[in-house]
Amino acid sequence: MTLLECKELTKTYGSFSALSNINLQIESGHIIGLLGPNGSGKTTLIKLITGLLAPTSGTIYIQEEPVGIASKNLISYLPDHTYLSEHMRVQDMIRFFEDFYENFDSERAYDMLEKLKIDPRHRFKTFSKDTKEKVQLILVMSRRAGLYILDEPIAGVDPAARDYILQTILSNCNEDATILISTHLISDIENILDEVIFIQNGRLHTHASVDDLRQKDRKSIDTLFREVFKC
Amino acid sequence: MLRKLLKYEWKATGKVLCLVNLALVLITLVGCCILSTDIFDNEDALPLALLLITLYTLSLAAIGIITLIYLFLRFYRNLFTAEGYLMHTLPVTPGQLFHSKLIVGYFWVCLNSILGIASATLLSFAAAYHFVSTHGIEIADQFILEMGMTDPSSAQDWSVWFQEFFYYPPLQFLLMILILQLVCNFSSLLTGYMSILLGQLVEKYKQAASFGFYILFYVANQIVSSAIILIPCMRTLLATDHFMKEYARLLIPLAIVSQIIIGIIFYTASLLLMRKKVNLD
Repeated sequence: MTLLECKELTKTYGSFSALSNINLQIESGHIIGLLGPNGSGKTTLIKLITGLLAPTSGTIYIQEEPVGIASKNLISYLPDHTYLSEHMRVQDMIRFFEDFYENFDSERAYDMLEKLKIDPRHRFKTFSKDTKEKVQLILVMSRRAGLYILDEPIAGVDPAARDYILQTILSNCNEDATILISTHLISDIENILDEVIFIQNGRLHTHASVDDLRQKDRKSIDTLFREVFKC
Repeated sequence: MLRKLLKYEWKATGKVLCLVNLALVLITLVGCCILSTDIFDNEDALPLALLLITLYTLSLAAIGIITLIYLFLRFYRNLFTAEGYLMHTLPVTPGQLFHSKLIVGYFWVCLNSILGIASATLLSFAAAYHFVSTHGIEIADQFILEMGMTDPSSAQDWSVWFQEFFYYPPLQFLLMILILQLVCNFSSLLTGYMSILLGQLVEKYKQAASFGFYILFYVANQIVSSAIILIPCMRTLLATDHFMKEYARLLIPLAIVSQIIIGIIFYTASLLLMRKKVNLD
């Protein structure tokens, strides 16, 4: 079943074209790497899918519906920076998510917080950068969503935290859910990916299954990425 | 969903704005206490009295401005900075997001205005009461006569005398001032929200652009409403001996109507801008 479909999707800022004519179809139940160097248009594509940006032209359909309340209920989105109010306590954030998202599982959130020894009574501003990222990830992954969009979830955290984050992502999503992970740290996530999307200068370079690419080129995705995006 | 948004908006703004309004209540209480003493009874105290009146007026204005600035900052931060990534991805419509800010913001500016009017009224009564109790009612009557008004002792009641001066009976006058203030609050709040929304459409220097739009709309509002209000009434006002009475009769209703029109224009424009899917960089 087609979960996400982009047709001739374009986003420009004045004369600069951030995304050009992206045509893309994503099916349910896959883990997809959205790969490309910094500034290639990954975050722009994600913002368009989540409704944070309006396309200059083209269309986006999520489960055959345009971006709107239904798609926002379906998508669980982790931005590439902290986006929660610094003054809120973690327990208040959990209540906030519980109030707005019907598919939010607070038990799952508290369970993950306990495993990481994060006190939910503490305010968000008191945490280190790593802990803030973990709290955000916990909130995002505690939703039983159809599409998880994670923008650079492992950038800026230490390798041990990366392992925890990847483990959390894998163990908390449903079988029929799709995870779209944007990153340029390919070697860390290569083993969990089913498909990859390469974006180069705002254009779709490759969208293929990881197994097909490995068989065809006899190279790892990381090596392939380095070749494609060689400076 | 609007109810939930209102709940969180209320929580987020409540602490700071309760303190701001509490400060206004405290200033009023301190003012009443000062007015009930004999501190202003000798002529030497005039500079002190003027200083306190100036400070009181400035603090009233400052509290109003702080409330508005806080609400504008909250609107901007919550919708167009990092927090906007959460707010704009909630399963709510842009209209619901906007209305939650508008309803809670309007409540706070209205509360602030009502407390401000109540404070000024209370202090005026306290001053008048102290004046009459220390100087006697005869001196007060003489003061009113010197101002060129009807002898208050011969007037049927105080309400008639008030009406002669302000055109409306006291309670109706207070009501008109209150209505005017409430519609002005609506347009003031929307001037800020619309400026912030327009600023987001500019590619660079969004905050500076929002500030520029605010100045522009504020000045335009002053010019347009002055033109709407003053031009039709100018001849009548210049010809009359009862300027204050004519001023209240003609200008207050016109000011109310003009601010309602401006408020409706700003509200419609703001809602359209919100629904246009504001781009979050």
